[in-house]
Amino acid sequence: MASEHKGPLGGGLLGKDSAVFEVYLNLTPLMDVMSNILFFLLAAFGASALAVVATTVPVQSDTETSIAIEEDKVTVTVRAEKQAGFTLQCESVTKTRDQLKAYGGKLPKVDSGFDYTGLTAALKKIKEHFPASNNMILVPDDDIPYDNVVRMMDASREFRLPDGRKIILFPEIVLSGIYKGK
Amino acid sequence: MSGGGGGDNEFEVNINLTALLDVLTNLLFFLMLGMAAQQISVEEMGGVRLPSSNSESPPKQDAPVGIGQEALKVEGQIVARIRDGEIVAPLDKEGRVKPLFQALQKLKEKRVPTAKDADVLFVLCDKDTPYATLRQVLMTAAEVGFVKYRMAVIME
Repeated sequence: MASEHKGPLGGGLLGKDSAVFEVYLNLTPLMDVMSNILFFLLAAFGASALAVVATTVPVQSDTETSIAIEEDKVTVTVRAEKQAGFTLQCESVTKTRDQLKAYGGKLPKVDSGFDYTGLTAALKKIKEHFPASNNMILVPDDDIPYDNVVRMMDASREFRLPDGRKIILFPEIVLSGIYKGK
Repeated sequence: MSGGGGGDNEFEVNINLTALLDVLTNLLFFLMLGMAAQQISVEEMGGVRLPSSNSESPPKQDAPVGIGQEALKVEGQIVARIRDGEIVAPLDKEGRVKPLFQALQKLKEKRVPTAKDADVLFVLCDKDTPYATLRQVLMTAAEVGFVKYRMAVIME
């Protein structure tokens, strides 16, 4: 902060000669602080703390089948049991159960928790063989908390490579056990 | 600003930062208010602790259904109580939660049927809610005609 005395101009409040001061405020530290706060807020706001997970329910239809009808497409059903863990099963109109048996199987719980890494790996293997597949039906047990259901959906939606890139696995997840008649 | 003679030029530059500071202050306040508003809108749903997720889909918040630890809400209005993770409300023959069904029907009537998101429901659900309770809510919503859901989560 700097001030400059310009000389007396008239009577002051205290009865003495008052002066006009030209004051230069050094705003640089304030700017620094504000810029820092701004950048942090912008980063946080851009990332938006709130996000959404899209899901749907099975809908009864007379015309379409939910089972994949294309060669390179399967529909994966993941059953999540609180005690036993995951059971995977693939379905396709163009392939027999025996042909798809290799892609199914059980993933037992690891350290009393669900094997999310194993689920992602199993789904990645399926996706590599049937790249057009997008649909997955998730069937959790009734007493599984919603938090775990979201983690299952996260594990099924994408696979992150060490360099940060993502491989999309099964983004269209149907929560089953819910029936909607049309 | 002043310049010296010869080769040794000395400049004293006084940049007027006031305008820039005004802009920054405005931005700061808007961002702070925006963040606070977002926080409040989630907290208002009544004790809902959202799970975290790696989803990056941006939220499009409208008329949410909130499944909290103590209450089930539609558009901020309590439609049923929740005790030990279970909805305390009468069910109809099809297993639908009666008061929720009625509240969602009213919500459905308010929406334009041809609108893009007419059958989409924004759901805030507490992370400890058992899947059976969530299923009950989603099943009731599906019977009203909401068959697509945007489940709110906290971004990891």
